[in-house]
Amino acid sequence: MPHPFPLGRRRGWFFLLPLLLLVATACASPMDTFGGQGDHARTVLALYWLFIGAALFVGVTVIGLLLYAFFRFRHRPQGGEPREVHGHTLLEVTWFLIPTAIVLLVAIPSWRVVFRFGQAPPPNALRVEVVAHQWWWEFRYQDYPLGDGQPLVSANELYLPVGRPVALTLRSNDVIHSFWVPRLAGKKDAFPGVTTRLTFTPLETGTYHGQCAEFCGVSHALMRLRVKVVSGEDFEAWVQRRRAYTPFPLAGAAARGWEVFQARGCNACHAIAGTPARGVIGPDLTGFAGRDGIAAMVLPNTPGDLARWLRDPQAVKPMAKMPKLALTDEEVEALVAFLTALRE
Amino acid sequence: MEKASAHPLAEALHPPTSTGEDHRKVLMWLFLASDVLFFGSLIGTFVVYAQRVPHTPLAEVFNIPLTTWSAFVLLMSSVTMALAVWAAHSGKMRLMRFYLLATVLLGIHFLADQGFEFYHFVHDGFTPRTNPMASAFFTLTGFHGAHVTVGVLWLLSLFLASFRGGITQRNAIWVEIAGLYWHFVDVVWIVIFAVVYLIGASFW
Amino acid sequence: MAVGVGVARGLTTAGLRQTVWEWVTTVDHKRIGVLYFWTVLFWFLLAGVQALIMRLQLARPEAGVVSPAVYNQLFTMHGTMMVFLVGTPIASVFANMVLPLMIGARDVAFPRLNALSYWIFLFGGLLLNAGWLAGQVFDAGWTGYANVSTRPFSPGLGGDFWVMGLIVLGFSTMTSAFNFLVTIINMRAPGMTFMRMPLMVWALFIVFVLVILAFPVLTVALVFLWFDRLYGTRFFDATAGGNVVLWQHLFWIFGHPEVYILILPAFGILSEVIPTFSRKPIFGYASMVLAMGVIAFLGFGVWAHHMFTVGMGPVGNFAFSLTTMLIAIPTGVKVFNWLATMWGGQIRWKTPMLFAASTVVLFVVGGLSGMMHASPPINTQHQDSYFVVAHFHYVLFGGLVMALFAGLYYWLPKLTGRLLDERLGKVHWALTFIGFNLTFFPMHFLGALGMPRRIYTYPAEAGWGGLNLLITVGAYITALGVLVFALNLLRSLRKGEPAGNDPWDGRTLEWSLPSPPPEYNFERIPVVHGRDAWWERKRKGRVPVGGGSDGNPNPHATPAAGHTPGGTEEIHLPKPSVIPLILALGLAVAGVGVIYHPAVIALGVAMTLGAIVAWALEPPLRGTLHIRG
Repeated sequence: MPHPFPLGRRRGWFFLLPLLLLVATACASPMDTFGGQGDHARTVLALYWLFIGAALFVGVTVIGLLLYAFFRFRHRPQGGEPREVHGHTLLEVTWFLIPTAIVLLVAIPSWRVVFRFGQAPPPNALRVEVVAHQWWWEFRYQDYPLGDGQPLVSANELYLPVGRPVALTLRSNDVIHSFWVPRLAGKKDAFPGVTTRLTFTPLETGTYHGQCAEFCGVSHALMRLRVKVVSGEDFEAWVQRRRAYTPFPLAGAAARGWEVFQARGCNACHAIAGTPARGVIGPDLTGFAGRDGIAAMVLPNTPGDLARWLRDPQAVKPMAKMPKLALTDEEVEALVAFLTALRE
Repeated sequence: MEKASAHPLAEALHPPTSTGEDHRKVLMWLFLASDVLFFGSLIGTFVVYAQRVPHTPLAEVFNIPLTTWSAFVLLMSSVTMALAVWAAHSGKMRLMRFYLLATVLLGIHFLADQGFEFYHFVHDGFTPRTNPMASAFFTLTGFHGAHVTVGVLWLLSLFLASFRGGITQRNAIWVEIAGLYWHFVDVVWIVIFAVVYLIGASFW
Repeated sequence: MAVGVGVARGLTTAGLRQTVWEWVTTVDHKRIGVLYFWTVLFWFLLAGVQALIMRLQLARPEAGVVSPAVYNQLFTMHGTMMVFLVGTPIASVFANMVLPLMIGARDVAFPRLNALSYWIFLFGGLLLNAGWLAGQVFDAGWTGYANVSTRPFSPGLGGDFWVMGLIVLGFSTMTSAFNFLVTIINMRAPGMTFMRMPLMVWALFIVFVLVILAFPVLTVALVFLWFDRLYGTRFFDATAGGNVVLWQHLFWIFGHPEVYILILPAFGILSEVIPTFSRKPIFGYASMVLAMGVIAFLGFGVWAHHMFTVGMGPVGNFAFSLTTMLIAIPTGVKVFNWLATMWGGQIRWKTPMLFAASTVVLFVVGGLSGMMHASPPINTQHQDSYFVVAHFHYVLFGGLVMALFAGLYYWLPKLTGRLLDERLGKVHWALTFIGFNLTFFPMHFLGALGMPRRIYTYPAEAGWGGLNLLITVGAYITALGVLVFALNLLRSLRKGEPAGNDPWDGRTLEWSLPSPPPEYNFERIPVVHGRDAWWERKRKGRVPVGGGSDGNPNPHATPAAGHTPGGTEEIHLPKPSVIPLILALGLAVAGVGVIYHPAVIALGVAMTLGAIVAWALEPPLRGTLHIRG
């Protein structure tokens, strides 16, 4: 009784499936690696297409040959015993040399990029120190000190000028994290006690999504960020606004909120430019009202979500370091009014 | 059916092996190969940390004369061990017992020296918690000492067993295998002594 | 004795006690193989259920099926169990089931050591999972990276159970490796040189060499973490100058050879199943051996390709990228050799061959995605994303697990005496193949769309929801396949078709024996004249026993053990022993003591030392069987 390849004619479905999935991928994501909107990501993308092409070529050829063999050499009753073939030196040498050639074909461009990425950043690069914390991002602009000599500090949103190289130095305050904004650049890990570097140039203005990419504890999934790439002039304007910033004078509920902010000890952990609040344990809150999200882009920045966060941070982000202060409704209202008044 | 010998250290029957070597000797060689990787990782970690971590210069921590003496003692114990193996293979059981005991005593002396050394380190504030280099140092030398201790216990048990005719010329392979282990532990100490103590005290 | 018979007898109380005692004291490698198999199957099912729960959680954005803490525990233990309790012991499963049969040996070199490796495996696995009972389970990933795995960031006992469980399990793997290495080195049948061994034996040989060289490095890393967590040492304390990357180096110096430890048994299975069902000898035996050796050797030089985003610098990244790309070449050679074996054959599409053939296809896919990771720049977009999850599931599930099923359908009948059902087998295969690809192929796209791994949820606006739902459906289809396999297994044990000696018209010596073989395997030790010794005998009438009907004893063969030419065979039977179990229990108890109380350590050490002494004093043989020639 012959042993036909199972599924017979219906085997065509096997090949339709990956194609369907390929089409399904047309849905993009703000985190996709195909954006190529930073020079780093764009260079990687070029390599990516080279490798995908080579992989498809090799895969289709080899799997094609395998599938052919599966059908062509299936047992047939009139088949008899196959000839015993133990090897073929020329064939074996060939299929050693050809893969070697293909490997070198893709590897050499790859290695050239490795050395290019390893070069020191250009002298005009914007220097930003990225400090990763459980579970938020701190950005320190060493090139733009404030009046008192301290660097301009921001949290969870990184402002960058388009077209200018940015030289990130990364470190962590606690465990290993990884800084990843896929449309702009590949990722780089951030360590306690060691500094790493990532240099790239944003090529298009826009808002880019990022996320921590090294497991860093229970709320690793909730450590996201935004990069806002703006024109050179807008960037300079932003810097000036930050340097000159002060939330005062405050009125009404916002002023009450500032009292609560101090009375409940928020200023012990948080800093706000232009105020006596100088805390360094938690994210800098200057210009908080303009941010896209709260708690490292986990919640949208709306008064309702803000109130939810203030009431019970751990319910939003398990084991968040921000204490649950048992705030009264009145205190929450006031704080929300204060924080939503923090516009640059 | 034959009854297998009920003697405590009776040998298993030895069919011819593909290599001609006894199973147990091949096993010991394989084990020692794996132990090379074990100690290699420990030594490597020590070297990395000795170079990178801020710490008190090792020249101020170590007592090189003492460690040189204990290294010599361990080296001599390998001589007595080799002699014990020779004696066992030659059927000279009383001589073998003498050399086994000598090896055990030298091994204990080595351990006592190490204990003395560690006591003073801790007393001077150099403990496994002092810094990463210290953690690596104590873990490395501690595991080596544990290997020596296992060796001492093993040789002691061979020594005791030999009194009841448990070790004979026919099963001298047991002494030979213990000897392989003992020599390995000694060689590891030579490396540790050279890298950790001598090079350490000179450069780190 | 077949599992089925043992189970049947076990249904009376006296019979049950006797049966349980037999299994608890067995030193028969075939029974130990059965014990390993059932235990591995149990862990596989448990880890699989964990995956199914994770997939429920990820099917929709912010699904809320499990909390983040529980999700993190699930992915940690799923990975840990699949690697250490399923993948790694597969070598021991098959080595115990068939290795001595394939080399013409009556037993392994150290029967009690062999039993010990199983009991340590059992107790170590229980220790590893004991955290679930204590409600404290490790949650920092199967790779346990410092410093999130150190005490300040992973307080609680979960990390300690993980560390101690793995250390104890390491002893199991090493013990098994030592035993089988000596067996292969020293107990091959006369005439079976290394280059005449079945490729499965070569694969296992190389696996066990890797084990004894790689596991000590893992042990060192685990010891460092253990000491940091429990005794306050500073190996991974960044505030004291410790380097957290040291963990990654040590872990991956073990970890990369480990993945070859995982896949080489699959290569061995393919190299037996494909020739048998293609009815042709393996193409390029010598280059297959060389390829496995080169892969194993190079495998020690690629570890930092798991660390391309760590900042080693361009020279470091280049060096490891180079070695990693090179490893693709011998792997490719193997794929072509399997293809060439099938080429010109008369392929019988039985279940083992279905699984084996799909393994080759799926492994090619996994290997290609691996090549992409091998480029450091591309790696900066792939690392820690679902692209990596896709890659390693293609090579480990598509590669290893599919081959595992091939091996089980192929060799379980030799141990149980009963075939598995062919139709159920084909249904199992179809569900697995479809489910697997539906689960893991979309993960390449998820990775390309920027989804990081080890996240318990994602927002709707990320655009990952559709693919995740598809993947979850695929996972449950795959699970259905496993269910069919379980049914097939149970059915086969009770009323499967008797296998007979040689159900597949095999090529190697195990098929010359009854199914199941007698306790001592071979009545007469065969003398081997070439590769595929059993095939040669069937096709060319060469008698494997020295001094037999061809009148020309192999002058280079040593006399078969205990064989008097033309006379009686003397077969030495090993003595069953409960000591290995006690020794293993002592190790596990000591491990528990490290976590809870020094007195318990003392108890465990006392048990271990006592067992060692008893072992030394216990006679290893129970008697001799005489079989007239």
